[in-house]
Amino acid sequence: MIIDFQLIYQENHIAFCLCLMIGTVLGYLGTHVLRRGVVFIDISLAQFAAIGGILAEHIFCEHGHSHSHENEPLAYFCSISAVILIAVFYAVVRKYKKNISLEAIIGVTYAIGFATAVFIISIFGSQELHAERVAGDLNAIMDFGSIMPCIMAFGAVVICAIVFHKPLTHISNNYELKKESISVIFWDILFYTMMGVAISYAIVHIGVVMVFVYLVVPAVIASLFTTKLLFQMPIIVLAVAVASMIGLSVPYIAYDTWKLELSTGPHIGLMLGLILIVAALVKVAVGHIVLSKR
Amino acid sequence: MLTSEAVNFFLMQLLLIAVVLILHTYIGLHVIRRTLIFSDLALDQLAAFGILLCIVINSNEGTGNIVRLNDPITYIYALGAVTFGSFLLAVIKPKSKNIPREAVIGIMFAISFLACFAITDPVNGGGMLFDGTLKGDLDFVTWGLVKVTVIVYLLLLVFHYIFRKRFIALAENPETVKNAKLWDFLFFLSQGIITILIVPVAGVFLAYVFLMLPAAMATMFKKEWKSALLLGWSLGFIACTLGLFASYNIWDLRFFENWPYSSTLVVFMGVFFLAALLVRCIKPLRTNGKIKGTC
Repeated sequence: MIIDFQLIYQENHIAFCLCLMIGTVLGYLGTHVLRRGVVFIDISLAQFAAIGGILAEHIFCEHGHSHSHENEPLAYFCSISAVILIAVFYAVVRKYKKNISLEAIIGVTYAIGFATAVFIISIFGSQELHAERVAGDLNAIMDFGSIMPCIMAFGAVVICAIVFHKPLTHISNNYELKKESISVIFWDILFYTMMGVAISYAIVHIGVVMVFVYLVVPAVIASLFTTKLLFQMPIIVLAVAVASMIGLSVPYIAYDTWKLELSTGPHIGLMLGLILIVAALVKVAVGHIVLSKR
Repeated sequence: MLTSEAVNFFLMQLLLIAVVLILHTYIGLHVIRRTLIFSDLALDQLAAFGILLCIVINSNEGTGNIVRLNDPITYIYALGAVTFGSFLLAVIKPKSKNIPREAVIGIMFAISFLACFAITDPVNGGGMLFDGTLKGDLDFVTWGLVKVTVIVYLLLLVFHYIFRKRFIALAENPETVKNAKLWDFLFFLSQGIITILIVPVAGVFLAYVFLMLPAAMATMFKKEWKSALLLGWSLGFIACTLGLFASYNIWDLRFFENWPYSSTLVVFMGVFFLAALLVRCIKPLRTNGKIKGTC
């Protein structure tokens, strides 16, 4: 068996750059999500972004031409609108909730969102579109032009993250104490909108569940070792790079070896899970070594 | 006019929903009060992983040996998967404040979801199998399954009733419980067992909604365990019954044509949930004449 690494590089370097960009930005947002303790907000936002996209395809596309590129801006617009709507809902509910946790409301709305997506596709019939939104389609990336909208959207999110870094970090670090003020609702909506824009563009390429994995797993790996964002970011970038490189290579190796045709997305996620397990074991081992020295 | 076959079908479905909702609402109340919201989704997805793993390992197209989603052997694999998941849920409690327990639960869900996708990806018709575990199949409901479900749920209800003080203490004062990890494991395992029975029929997301939505609605209105259980069960049963009738298009209306089973039930329960949220917003909770909150 000879693995042609040059071929793997030639075929995947654009997908790798995309994964690195998405993973790094989502990883940064993930550090905020962990500090806020609302882990599942992103999977819920991603699900509603998917619903927006699916609805747009049905409303604006002619029958039988469901994947026309002319309608892509409309699909993104509908996705982002759905996300902003649900973000406003969460920001307002967080202010008024009392008997029930925000996580419970997020959990319930996520399940309702998933069922609604299944419901819509059952009524209109577009199984492959939903599968694409859930699992993504990295194999479809041919050139940098096809990921340009995603690069521009992520560029805008990065600019917002730099400009508004201070207030967003302040709220994330004091999340429970800050819920009464009206300005906090504004910053909450801004944060969720940033996440929504990133998610809306990311799910087209990597799917709902991979968005969640990129958002939470690298941030958890980094949080195992440090609480400072400055040191967390290199760990996030490294974890994303290693997982994406190996995950993108797996389908090629599987095809060369067993003639199996595999999707790329799930293997990147599984690789990130493996890196997390190794990181947790390293953390436990280092902890024991430090304790035994004392 | 309903035929006797249709009446039999509805009786079977309604009995199954009624039985399932009792234990699901009760365990859902625990899950919400302990803020382990996605633990059930993680266990549901693990049960689906067990089922799919069993099919991938044991099916052989060459010999014609095809394992179906609801074959008895799939329940054994699913039990193995949820037992492992329950153990992990009970044992892994991050000490760092920066890593919430929900993050661990979320990662378990996402990894098992991706693992389901990965193992079915190379299989012929794997996409349909994967989709089947997400949506469930109404046709899997038989009187045999209903009987087994009723017996298992009754046993679990008796178990939870006998040890209710320990389980309630886990939700209200976890530091007072001796061997908390063992009781945590038993709690998650009982949650996992009900998951195994419901996932092939209802699918991962309806199974999760069955557990969360009635309990979430009840939590908004009632604090006491008994009244919350009764309210959650009643609202859940009404919503599910309407959803069942709509998906079967019992009123023979064009509007309800092709409504899928499990997602229709979820959508109906979702409408009830949003209505409950709205009611709470219009009529806020009051304590000693002071408005305390809306949800």
